[in-house]
Amino acid sequence: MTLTPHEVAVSQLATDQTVPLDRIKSLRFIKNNIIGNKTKKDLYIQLGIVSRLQDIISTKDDKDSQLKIQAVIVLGSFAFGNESNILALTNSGVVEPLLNCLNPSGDPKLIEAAARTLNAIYASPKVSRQQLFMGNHLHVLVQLLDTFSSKHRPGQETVQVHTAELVASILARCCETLEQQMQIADSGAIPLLMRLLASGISKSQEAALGALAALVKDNPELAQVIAQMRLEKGERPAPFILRLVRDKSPTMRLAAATCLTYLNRAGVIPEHNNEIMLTVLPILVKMLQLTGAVQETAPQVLAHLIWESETMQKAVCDMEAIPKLASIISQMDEEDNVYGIVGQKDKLKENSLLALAAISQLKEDCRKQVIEAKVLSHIVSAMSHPSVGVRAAACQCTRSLSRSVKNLRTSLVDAGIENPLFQLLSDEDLGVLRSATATLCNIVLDVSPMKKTIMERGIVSKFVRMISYGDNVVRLNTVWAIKNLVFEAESEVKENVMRQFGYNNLVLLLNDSEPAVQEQALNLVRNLAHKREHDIEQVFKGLGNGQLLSIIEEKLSWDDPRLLEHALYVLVNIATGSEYHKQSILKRQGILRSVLRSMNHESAAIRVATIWVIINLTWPDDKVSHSVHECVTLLRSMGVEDRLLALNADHDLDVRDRVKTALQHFLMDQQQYGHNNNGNGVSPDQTGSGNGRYGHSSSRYQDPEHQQQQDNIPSSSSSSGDAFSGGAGSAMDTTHIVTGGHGVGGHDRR
Amino acid sequence: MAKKVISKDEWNARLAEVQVDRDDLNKLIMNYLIIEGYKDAAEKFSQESGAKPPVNLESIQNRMVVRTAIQRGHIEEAIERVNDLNPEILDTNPKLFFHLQQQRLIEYIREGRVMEALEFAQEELAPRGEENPEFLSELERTMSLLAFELNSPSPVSDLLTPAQRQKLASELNSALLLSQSQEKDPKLPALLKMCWWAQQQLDERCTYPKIKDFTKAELVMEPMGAVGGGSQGSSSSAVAGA
Repeated sequence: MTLTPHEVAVSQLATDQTVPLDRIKSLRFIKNNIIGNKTKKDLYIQLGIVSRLQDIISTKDDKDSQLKIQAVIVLGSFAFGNESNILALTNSGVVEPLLNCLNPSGDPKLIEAAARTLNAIYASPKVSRQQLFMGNHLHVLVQLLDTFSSKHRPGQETVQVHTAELVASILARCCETLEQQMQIADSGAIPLLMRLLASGISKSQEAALGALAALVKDNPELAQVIAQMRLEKGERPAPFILRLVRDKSPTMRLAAATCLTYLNRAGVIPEHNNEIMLTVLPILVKMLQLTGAVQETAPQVLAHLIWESETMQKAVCDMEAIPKLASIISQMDEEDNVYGIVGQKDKLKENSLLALAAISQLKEDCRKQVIEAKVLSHIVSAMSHPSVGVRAAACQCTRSLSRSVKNLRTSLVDAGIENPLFQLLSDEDLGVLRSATATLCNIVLDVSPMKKTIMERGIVSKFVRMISYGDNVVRLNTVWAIKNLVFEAESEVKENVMRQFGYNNLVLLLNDSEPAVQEQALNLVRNLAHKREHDIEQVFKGLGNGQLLSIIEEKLSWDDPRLLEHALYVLVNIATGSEYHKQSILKRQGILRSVLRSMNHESAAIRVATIWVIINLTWPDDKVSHSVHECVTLLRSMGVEDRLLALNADHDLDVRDRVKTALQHFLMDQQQYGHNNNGNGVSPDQTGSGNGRYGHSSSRYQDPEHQQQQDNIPSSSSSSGDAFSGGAGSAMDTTHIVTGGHGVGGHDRR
Repeated sequence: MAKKVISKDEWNARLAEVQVDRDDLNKLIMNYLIIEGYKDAAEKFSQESGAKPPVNLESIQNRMVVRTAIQRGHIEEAIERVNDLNPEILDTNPKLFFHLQQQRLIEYIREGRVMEALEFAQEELAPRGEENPEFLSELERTMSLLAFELNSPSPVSDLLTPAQRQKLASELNSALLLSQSQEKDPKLPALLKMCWWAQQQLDERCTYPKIKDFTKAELVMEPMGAVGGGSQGSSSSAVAGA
């Protein structure tokens, strides 16, 4: 059997008898075969070449660097193939010997080649960065950034500059965690990167921008340090980078725009806000019409830059970015159909979807444009895309779009979002799951026709799995979705949901490690115990005897404003229930004391809530006028009435209005039973006579109160919604506005 | 409407007012020589003018060797050279790599080595076509060379012209320049285009001493009646060119 020339070449690498020159010749043969050729790379890896190369680069013998150089270059070419090639290299342990090749006393060509190969290896996010931060490696690496030092070797300038560029790029790829960013900064890289930035050599500048961007990404501390540095001529980096944004080369423009985006997001260059709006935004939008890597990355940077900024989203919308993105996405779908090749441009699709999601995040106008661009069907089909990233991005889009009541009622239903969304709720990927559950929150709103159908599909059974997923965001979104599901729902729906979900799970959520989850779980209780005596009774029973009020008592004692308000409204709702329900509150001295204390809370919303508790507890009722009197008497003895009188002068109008109502209740009691009457003994005698008067007055006070209350609900609860959205993920602010009144309607008794 | 007339004297006086730094001019010429790959000329020019070449002159030599190899049809040699200079270029530039392989195929066909051409196309080019659909049609077009007589005109005979090699040589030269942080186009031709465009803008407004032949750069005063040739259409195309 004859060997192929490739097999011969590999076998020659191993034989110790082969003269070094022949081995070099074989390596060159292999190199020229595999560069640019993915098929040949695979072939050689199968022939077991990697371990032979590793042997060569691991030898301590530094006499002939040529052999090592060629071996390192061949390794680098494998790494340019695809991720599985890279993993084949790292699994056989090439990173450590490659890092050792960076030894500054070695051949500059070897250093350059090793830096190139390492850079190609670190292109894969799956490769561990750990080794680079061990021992002396990072220090050695950072020294290589210094092309200005006295260690300058004549004739090697080009090689040294190129090495510095590669090192900057490696550093950019090794900033995955805050800790890594800090270690790189501590190693003294930043001043050297600044010099590279001002070097005037375009590739060096791009590489420096890439590293600086990676260092400041989500790192306000380093962003501040870098923004305050001075370049050689005394200039700050930001204005300098702003000039590079207008460079002729698209890759330079992109690198500069990316760096500015992260600096801007870190909030360290507010003085350049205008220039970023007027220069960086339009340049990024124009890049959408380029090709290749620039077009691919630009939408991602754009998405990052405009995230959570209404002004920027509006501006990008005005620049016609939406039709451009829409045409990129729809064109890609057509190409996929023609060639049947999937996976070529996944990243472009993912990033374009992310940009659409960001543009339509906050403004209804922008959402309208997305719908009008006829891209929704492509978004929905992308929800079932084989690439995880594309699925997550598509879901992010539907999440933005579902914040519009109009879209919930029409476009999203028509596009058939429900099916794929339901699928995504079982997705393996955390990112997908996070945005899918966030979208779900909006889909189960009352205004959405999908609420009913998604219930019928058995959404509730998925909730249990989702809360045990171990991710805070997913768990929070899930509680939020359940909360929306039972908002203003029929008793039957509530019972159905809780039967499947289980009160034991609700208890777990109420005691969750994440305060935001606790808050929403309380909100869920508030919605469950809303409106009907029957519903309140269900929650009492479901949580077990006395459990509900024990939990509320505990939450009230925490004095956390986020929990406090919801806990108080749970009480407001319970106080609309039966005599038994009211009595259970009144028996809890701890609860009453907390309510009393919260009447002086600094937040007006909380003061209002406490007064509602009083109003509902003291609500005049002919049938049980005696217990009402007992209640008033009890509260009065605790000093509630005095507290109410003091609140008459509250600066908040809403508080004053509620106080009036509450005081009316105390006044009525006084009129009926007399002023000094604190004792229990008197009231039974007077019950009968009190009935008529009381019934009369109750109709007088109750009705106007009811009117006022409805005006009040949306405003007070939407403002509370804003406050919550911070912790809960901004996707749900609309959710909140729509579901606004949860449970406040507790006073809504007839 | 009568056009404003600017006399030759006045024009020269105004030209004299413009300060042009001699160093800048030298840099401009050096930039042209380096990018276009005139290593010897660059060396001489550097000695005579004192303008320092911004790059290692060695790198010009390397690029020129590659360019010459392509122009001679020695594609394999060119590929090896590029891989020695910077192994990253062809690994990260699939289009350029495909064009090089395509040229190898063309050279096989030109030399009548049909069997080798078929084998090469199958082993080297077909997989690239699978990876990237854009390359498929180019591959098909190249393969159809086999269907025609080599020396008679055909729809694909342009592939056999020196211009085809020239195009590839320029593409490769640009890639090498970019990898060395250099501009891929010299500044001088762009400046000339801008000058041409500016003259056309001026033509609509005034009569002035004008450069008609850029190789001579003489200022010629147009006869009064014959002006007005600078049409809208050509001026707009000049904008695009500049």
